[in-house]
Amino acid sequence: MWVFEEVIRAEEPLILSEYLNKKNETLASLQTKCLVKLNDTIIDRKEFSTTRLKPNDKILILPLLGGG
Amino acid sequence: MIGTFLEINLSTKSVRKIHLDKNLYQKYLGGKGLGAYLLFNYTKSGTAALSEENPLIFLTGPLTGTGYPTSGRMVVVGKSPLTNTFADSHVGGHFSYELKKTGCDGFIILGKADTQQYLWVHEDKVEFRSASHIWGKTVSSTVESLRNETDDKARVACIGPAGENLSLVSAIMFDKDSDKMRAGIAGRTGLGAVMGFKNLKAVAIKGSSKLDFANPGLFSEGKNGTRETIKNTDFLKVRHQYGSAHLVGPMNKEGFLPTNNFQLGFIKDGEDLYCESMNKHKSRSSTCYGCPINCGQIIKTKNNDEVKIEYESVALLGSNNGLKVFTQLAEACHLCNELGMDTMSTGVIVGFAMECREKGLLGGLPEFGDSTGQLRLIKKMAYREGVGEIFADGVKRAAEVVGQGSEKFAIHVKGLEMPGYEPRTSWGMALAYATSDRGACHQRCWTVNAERSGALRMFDFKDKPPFVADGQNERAAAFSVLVCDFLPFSVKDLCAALEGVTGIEFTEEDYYRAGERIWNLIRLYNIREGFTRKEDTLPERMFDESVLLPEGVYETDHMGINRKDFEKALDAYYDYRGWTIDGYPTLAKLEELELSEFVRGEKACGYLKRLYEQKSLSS
Repeated sequence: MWVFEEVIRAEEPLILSEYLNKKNETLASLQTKCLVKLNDTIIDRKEFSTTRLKPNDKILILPLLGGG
Repeated sequence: MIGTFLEINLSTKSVRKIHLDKNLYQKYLGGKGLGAYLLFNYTKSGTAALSEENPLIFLTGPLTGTGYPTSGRMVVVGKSPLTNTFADSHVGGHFSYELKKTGCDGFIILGKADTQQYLWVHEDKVEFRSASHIWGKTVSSTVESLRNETDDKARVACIGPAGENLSLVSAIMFDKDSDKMRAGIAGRTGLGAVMGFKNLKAVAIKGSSKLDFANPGLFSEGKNGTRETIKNTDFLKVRHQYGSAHLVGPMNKEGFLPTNNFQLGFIKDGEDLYCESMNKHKSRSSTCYGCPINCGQIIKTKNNDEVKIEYESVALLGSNNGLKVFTQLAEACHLCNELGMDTMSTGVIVGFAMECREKGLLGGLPEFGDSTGQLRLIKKMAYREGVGEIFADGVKRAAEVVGQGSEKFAIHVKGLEMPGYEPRTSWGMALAYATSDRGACHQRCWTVNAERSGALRMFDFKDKPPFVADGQNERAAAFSVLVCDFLPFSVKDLCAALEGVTGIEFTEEDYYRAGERIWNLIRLYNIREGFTRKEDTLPERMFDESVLLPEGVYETDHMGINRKDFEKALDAYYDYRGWTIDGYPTLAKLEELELSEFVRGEKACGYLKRLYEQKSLSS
């Protein structure tokens, strides 16, 4: 099971949606079926563009592909 | 031109070409969403599923046949005779592409033929032909016969003996497992019986039209972006190697694998069911049209028959019925495919029958682990012979006949037999099953990995209501565009591809909003058909009994669901959706989603109009 986890560094973008867009250049992280947690709280997709990141925030992205 | 459908009336043997307004694609995307809109408008409240008035709608999506990854998908929509809910049964393979090549986006099959018929659709011409010579034939035999008498490259959707005999767990089968090109099955919700009721044995199809693209460059941009995402998704390598059956081992080790009719969450000494063992019997891979994932695992049975195996079939015809030998369940799966039956529902029904025997409630039934007995019961169900008559219409109705408290271990939601993920281990699935639009379904929102990874806490409903609701909305959109459940993609790429095909501008917001709109429209349909909060629940076993879990994995070796906790989670789920405590979307929510026409004004049905005149729903 693949989970992407990272601690936010000072140079990362300040808005969650910008951060995810940047990561999407190298990861398949913005897949439709994924769960994004910031400091252990699930972030609603509608809040991606209004959620601000701080250095040392912990972000987790979990793709939810699967089932059978 | 997108939105071209053939309205085929079996009663009058007439065909009408209709063009749907392009705006409907903006609102409902296609596939499931458009099917829901059409079903709502083609039927009246209370239309019986097995009646001339219930249409059977074959729909492609806007991306079907375009070469976009996993664009070989289509869906069959109607009212389910098994659940009496809205039904959408999705299917991969190659039929969908052939359908698009006829120049149409789908068929709306109306009425009932007075004699047994099949349809031969070539380009956009439809011939009504007698099916008396193929009535009674198994699926592969039907497919071969129809190719002989139409075109050897024709694609064939048909029912087997189970559909002819109106078994409510019968499927619509698309081509056959032994074909070089991958076959597909619209398995769930009993739509094979709707086809059987219509006296329609099969639809054979062949086309040669080229597909139109409004903006080929933009389409390619979206397609290539998605192919890149696929390349970057390591998980798909496992999916390619083993198909969905790669989950059997992890699910067994972690207590998610239904065993002995959902009495246990694992099967002891069940290693022969794992994908590594399955691959010893693998004959080849097979892929749906336009799919680079290539996940179909074709197995050879003891009798040298080929059959495609998925996780659900292993779980529900295997461990759920006490079988530990892979070749035995492969044989059962092959039999279901030949008779045209849903392997999932059939597996759960046989498990129920085995428990009836274990409890001494009914004679003439196999015991857990009896593979030959399972085969015998499957045949009896398909032909409605002897005790098979009791079980042919699903586990809910079987429990009503057997009685004696058997309702408590009839494993279904709204009449649809439960998939192969134990809900007492995955509480996210418990909520997803209970609130699913077509009864217990794992494809509306699959929470298992989120729970296994710790991203969602196990054995807890915290965070699950919004997670499940958002997942359901998103999948409603994906199943309307009609891409596969296993496709990783960014919505940005998908929207580019959609616009490239249709010429309609789609934003990411449009995609998610359409998903929520579709979910709410289907909720309205189900409310119109009499469904209430009462049906958004789980089998009694899930509340009244603990499931046994493997030792040493969790802090406990057994787990149940507290009914009050579940009801609170349901309250939170409704609240998040903007529904009342009784599970009705408020008028404000319907207005927000541009759905109020279904409850107010000329087009609204009387029942919904009266319901929404109540003050409590107006706000």
